[in-house]
Amino acid sequence: MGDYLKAGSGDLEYSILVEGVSLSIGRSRLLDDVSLKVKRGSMTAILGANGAGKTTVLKCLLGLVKPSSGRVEVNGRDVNLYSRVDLARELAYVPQLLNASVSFTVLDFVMMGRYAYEGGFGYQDKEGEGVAMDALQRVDMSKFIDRKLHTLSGGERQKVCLAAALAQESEILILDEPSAHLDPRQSEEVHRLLAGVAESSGLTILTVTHDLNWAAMDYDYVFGMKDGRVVAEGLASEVITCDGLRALFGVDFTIVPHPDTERGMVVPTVRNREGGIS
Amino acid sequence: MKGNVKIWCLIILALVTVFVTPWLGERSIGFDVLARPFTMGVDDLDAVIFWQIRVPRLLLAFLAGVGLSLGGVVFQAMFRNALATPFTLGVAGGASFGVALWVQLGLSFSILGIGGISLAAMGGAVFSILLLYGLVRASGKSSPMTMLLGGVAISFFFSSLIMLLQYLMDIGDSFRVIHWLMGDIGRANLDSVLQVFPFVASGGLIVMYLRRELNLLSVSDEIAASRGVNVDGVRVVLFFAVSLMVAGIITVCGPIGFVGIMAPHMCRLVFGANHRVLVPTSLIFGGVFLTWCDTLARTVSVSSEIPVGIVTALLGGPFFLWLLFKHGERH
Amino acid sequence: MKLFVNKSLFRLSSGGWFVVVCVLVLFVLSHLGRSWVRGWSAEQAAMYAEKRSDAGQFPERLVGLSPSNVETLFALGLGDKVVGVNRYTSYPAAAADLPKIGGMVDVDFEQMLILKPDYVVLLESQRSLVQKFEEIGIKTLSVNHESVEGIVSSFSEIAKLCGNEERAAAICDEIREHIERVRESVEGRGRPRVLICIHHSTDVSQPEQIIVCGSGGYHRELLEIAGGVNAYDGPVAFPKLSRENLINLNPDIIIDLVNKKVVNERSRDELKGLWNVYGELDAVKNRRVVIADGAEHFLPGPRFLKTLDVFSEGIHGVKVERKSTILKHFEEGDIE
Repeated sequence: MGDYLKAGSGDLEYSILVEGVSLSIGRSRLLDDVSLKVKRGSMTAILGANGAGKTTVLKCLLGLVKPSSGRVEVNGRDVNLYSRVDLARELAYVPQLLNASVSFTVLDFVMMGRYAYEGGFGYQDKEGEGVAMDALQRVDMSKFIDRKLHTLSGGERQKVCLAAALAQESEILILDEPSAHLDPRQSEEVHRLLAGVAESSGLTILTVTHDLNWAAMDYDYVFGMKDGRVVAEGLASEVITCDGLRALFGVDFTIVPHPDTERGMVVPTVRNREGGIS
Repeated sequence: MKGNVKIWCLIILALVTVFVTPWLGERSIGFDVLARPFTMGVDDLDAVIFWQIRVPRLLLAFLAGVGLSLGGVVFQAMFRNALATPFTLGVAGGASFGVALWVQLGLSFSILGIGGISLAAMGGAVFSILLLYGLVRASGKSSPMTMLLGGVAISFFFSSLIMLLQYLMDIGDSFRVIHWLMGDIGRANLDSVLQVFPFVASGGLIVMYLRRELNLLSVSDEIAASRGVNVDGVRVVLFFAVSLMVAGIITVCGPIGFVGIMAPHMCRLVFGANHRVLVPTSLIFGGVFLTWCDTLARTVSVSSEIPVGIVTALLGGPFFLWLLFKHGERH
Repeated sequence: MKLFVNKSLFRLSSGGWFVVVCVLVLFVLSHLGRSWVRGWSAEQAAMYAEKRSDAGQFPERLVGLSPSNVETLFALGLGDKVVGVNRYTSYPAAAADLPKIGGMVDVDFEQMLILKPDYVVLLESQRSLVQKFEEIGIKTLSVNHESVEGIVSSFSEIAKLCGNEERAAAICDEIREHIERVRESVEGRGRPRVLICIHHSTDVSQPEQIIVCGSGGYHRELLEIAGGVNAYDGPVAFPKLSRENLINLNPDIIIDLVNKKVVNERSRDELKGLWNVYGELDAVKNRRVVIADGAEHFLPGPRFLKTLDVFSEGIHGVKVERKSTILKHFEEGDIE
């Protein structure tokens, strides 16, 4: 059903187009004239303090929240014109760390990513299982297919979620803080996998993250949000600067070049005894 | 493969249940009655007991078990709470109130062959679901506690309304309501089996069709939506299916508690959480479970029988508490 | 907040349409099935009815499905034909030993079939059971024990079935005559407002959880025959009264029906003494609380004249002599 929609999207420059989106709930204004464009095949990060409206933007993209005004387009078509199934074929979503009480087996959970391609009555085709196995292979979890999700570590769970989103075979991947609650090793694994996926498959990846260094290292393009507005956008090296971070978080960081790549890494600024900045 | 063996065991258990329980009872009956269905006349006592008492009863108990178990599965997935069933969340109370109100008003009509009393039960069930769902939405967080307490409040609300009605009823109606409130499978006949059948079968069919959606809903609404589930629409359809089953069962059998918690949970322990398997297995196991409860209820005392609702409650109460404590530990 | 837009609620896939069609077909099929089953049941019932008229003889095996019906059967001299009784039956002694087939609303249908009764006599308030009896080929006779006229006619209805109408006629005459004599004896006297208490808790220092006769049952009628009026005149059949309700009603006389035999005079005084707590009531002030004990006061069967006598004596102090006839013998446990 979704094929005719996909047809025209072949040579679009931007996979995601958000234009002048505002959203108010009651008196609070969650989003205020937000515009962002995500280039096809790019890795884009959204940075910002908690409550800046990052997750709300994702919800608008997923069609979970209808903005009060403005336009949200995915692959050149208004989000609200998609049916749920069609949208799922364009756009996959990896949520924040999955609740530990979900007790599906890994393979079952990844197969659930195939929802948009299956018929009713729980019908599953062999092809779908191949896709799921392939996705698990890509995140290096194919040894775990019979394990229950709740017996896995946080990092492994996150990798399974990533596999489930890959099994959805969509062009765009949206992630909400993929490394939240993970320890450094798990976080490294997830980000490495993500960068690998982006490189090998050419997916468009849009990530909400607090992980400034990973954003600086892997991502092409960065949006900075504050109080429901986009206050900064540009290449990672343009946004993740001392001034840029001060504007976003109201805190001073020091930027030093990475020894290997020369990309700017974020480190805490040393404070003197009196609490001022040295 | 191991999973397949378990499923075969369940199927064999179901067949054994269906073919053994009608032979259990005070009076022993020979196998020759099988050749004499629909015997007319009281001369052939064995055939009458077998075909007009025990078999309809078996069928009704099985159907009710299927519906109640599925109702539990659906609610547990949608509310993501192991203790959620149409009974603990007050939907059965709403349906019961619908029936009691119908009896009190003494109305009698039917639409398209569906008795008005079933429609009244359906109305009560839908109303209480709306109430519950509104409550969950309004409180923002659907924490297990909020939901269970809300369900308890709704149950109490409806049961006091039923008591009020009963207070105002004449003795005959009051008897009827008391009898029915105890969970009444004893008066089963072919007609009542056929009355319940379309409700449970349609509800079951809908739930079977929406197994993949149940899987996704049991993870989270957001994930379900992002995978392509029309969450609102599916939820409405599932609520409708549960109301259908609960209303159909409550109209004839009265409220029978705890089946919706015990059967799905046991199946989850054995077959895992995937609704692709969980739905059909809980469906069968629910039927098997309630059939044995009813067999116990009618054979355990000599001169009369205890209502099946008492048997399920005696088994289910401790089970519920065990689950509550187990559940509490994990969070 | 409006969550989950993209409503395409009723856009169904082919599988969805299949389910909808199946659901409709299921309901239609079951409707057809039910009408067939009903037709078959009606046919069967007609056959039973034919058999009944063919038989032409009186039933030999009877079941009384309520204690009052069992008593009625025994009073009619049909005791030797009774094969099963209600679980709560305690009188006459011979009936209490018979096989029990269930309570007021729960019946062991299998046991019932095994006993092979020709007829089951039940109360109209047990009407929800009738259908199932008819299906399994057991004939039923419903009697109304909620009014005095109903009790009287229940004798003739049962007798008509069992062929001892003479005895029933004698019993009915006896009842009617006695009622008439009670009515005459209280004529011209005042009509005090009486409260008939059918239940209260006795294990506490004062009557609590008081349930009285309201608009339902035969007690209200007996009360009017005995020359009183019901102090409660609301719509509820058997209302439960609080102390405040009692004060508002302020009955002239309270008749306290106690469901068990009071063993001696002392315990009777104790029961009466419970009411002293409610000293503000005229009935208590004027020492017009009457204790009537015994299960018979709750049974609308052949012993209900005893209740009438208690009422007339309690209200007006009139003691109308009973002629020593059938019911009197029955009351004394003397069944031929």
